[in-house]
Amino acid sequence: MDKLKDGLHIAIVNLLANKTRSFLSILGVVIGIASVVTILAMTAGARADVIKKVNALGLSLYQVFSEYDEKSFRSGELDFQDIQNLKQLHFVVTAFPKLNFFKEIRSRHKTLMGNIVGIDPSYFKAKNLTVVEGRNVSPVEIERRATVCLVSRKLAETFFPESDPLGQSLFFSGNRWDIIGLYNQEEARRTRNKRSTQEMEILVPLETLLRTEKEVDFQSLEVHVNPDFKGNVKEEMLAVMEGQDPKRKGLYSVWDQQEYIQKRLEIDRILSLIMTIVASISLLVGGIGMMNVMLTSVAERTREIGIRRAVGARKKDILIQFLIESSVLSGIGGFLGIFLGASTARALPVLFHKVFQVGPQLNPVFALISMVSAVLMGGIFGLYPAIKASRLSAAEALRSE
Amino acid sequence: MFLYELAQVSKEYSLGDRAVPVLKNIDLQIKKGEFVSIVGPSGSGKSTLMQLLGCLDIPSSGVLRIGEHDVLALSDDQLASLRCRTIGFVFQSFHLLPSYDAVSNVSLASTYRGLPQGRERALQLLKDLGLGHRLHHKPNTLSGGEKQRVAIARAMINNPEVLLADEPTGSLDQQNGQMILDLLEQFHRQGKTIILVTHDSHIAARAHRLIEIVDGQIQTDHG
Repeated sequence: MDKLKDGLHIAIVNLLANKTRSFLSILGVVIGIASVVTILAMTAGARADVIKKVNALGLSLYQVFSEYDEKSFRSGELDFQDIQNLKQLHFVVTAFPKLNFFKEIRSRHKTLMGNIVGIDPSYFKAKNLTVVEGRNVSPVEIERRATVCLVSRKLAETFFPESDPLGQSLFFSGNRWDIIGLYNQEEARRTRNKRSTQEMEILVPLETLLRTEKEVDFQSLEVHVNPDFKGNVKEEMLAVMEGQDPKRKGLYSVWDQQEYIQKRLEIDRILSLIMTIVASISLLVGGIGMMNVMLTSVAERTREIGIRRAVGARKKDILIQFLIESSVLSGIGGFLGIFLGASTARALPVLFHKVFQVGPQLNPVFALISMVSAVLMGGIFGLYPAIKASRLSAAEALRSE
Repeated sequence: MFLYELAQVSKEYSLGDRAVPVLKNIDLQIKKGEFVSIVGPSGSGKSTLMQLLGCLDIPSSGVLRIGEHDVLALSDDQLASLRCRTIGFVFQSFHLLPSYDAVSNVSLASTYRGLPQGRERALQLLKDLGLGHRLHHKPNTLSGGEKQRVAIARAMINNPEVLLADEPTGSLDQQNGQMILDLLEQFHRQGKTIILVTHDSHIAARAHRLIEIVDGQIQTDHG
């Protein structure tokens, strides 16, 4: 313990005696550690962002698609009955069709294209939307096939910039639809490519829509499932879709959002691993630079080594001294590198906000890992110079000038 | 009881594929508490002999005993331990560590021995040698005489059996040289074995036994 304390003391005295060289030798380590920390923080940030977005959407989203069977030349059909059947499953919270239903929408003064969506009252909760003004559709309205609608705030502002949209009417599908509510999209859902269609959106009771429109094409079914259910959702849903009819076999597929997210996170993991490896190469280069400086230092301090050997230092003592020195050096480098890396990770999204839309996530574990690897690196790259130093013969080392 | 016993000790260095003999068949005994000087012209092998006596190097052949230890049978670590406990060195060019102050230079040797209170003893030794006002000066701010006194303090800190001084006055003026020689005499009176290597016969005359080396062999041994 005393030897270690003394070794640290010796290391610090020698490092301070050669400030410029010490600084230059750790520069590579600083940059290497900084780049590793930056990449770890940025990829962790991106990952946390994906997880946050997924949590906002709910992890329980499934989609049912119809498939084309090349042997029978048939494709599956999706209809309202399928939705009713799926809702019978105990773990299904709710289900909606995905329509691609653009219509000309008229008010008394304007005509615009809008996207019409068939819903039921559970739609808002499932899609993480809030009714901000007015109210949701009621079961009675569904029962009576009432021609009521809820509109997005954007659409309401476009049609009724001056007056209150509630109680006003819109005309489409040959009917008059009374506006009973306004809703807002959650921030997390506002992805760039979806914004325009979602913003010009009209929600109507699905049953009403099916009665007023003869040709409504269900592109796919969106099924929200209780996230606590642990059974095989896909299989049970497929069984419902195919029913007892062997002709329907193979005409449907189920897409699992969680599975997709897991795959995406897996790809993210691989990418971040590759980037970390690339950053580690710069760390390696830093280590080699340090080894070079340590070798020079050993050559310059041959006489010092000789003096130490003369007054009783063993080979082991010299070896340990140089190992401690290189570990302290790279430890200091690692310490500075962590700060540089953390600052870079914070600065990048500010400086290049178009490229880095997601902030970093700084984890103390990264700092710990970086610190440990820096010190270890000092030991590894300091080993060769230290062995060289310890093998010098005392008599020859003393003769050197 | 001999402190040093050398029998047929030879040392040669290899220069390329050629072996150059530096010491040839040296027979020598030195008793505990002797004050010996080794003289000879430069290149005579006296410095090599001192390195052997100081365990900085080992003989190519022959037997070298220090106390009960056979040097050729010792491991490198055991030799280091022997240097640390038994031998104190004083060199012509001081050999102080430039980045250490006087106290740290002196206590360095006690660190390797693993003795406690190294700094306290270093402070006391330096004060005894009249360097109480130079304790925290680095070597480049000390005069030659002061540097050599720091080096002597370092040599004495582990209370060695023998003090090996290789041209200790070589870099000093007359007055400082005298002071260093007085110190060596003082340690001799306290019972230390002193071995003084020099090319200067006036300085060598301060010793009680004079060994002359010429061409790697002992020419005369008066004592």
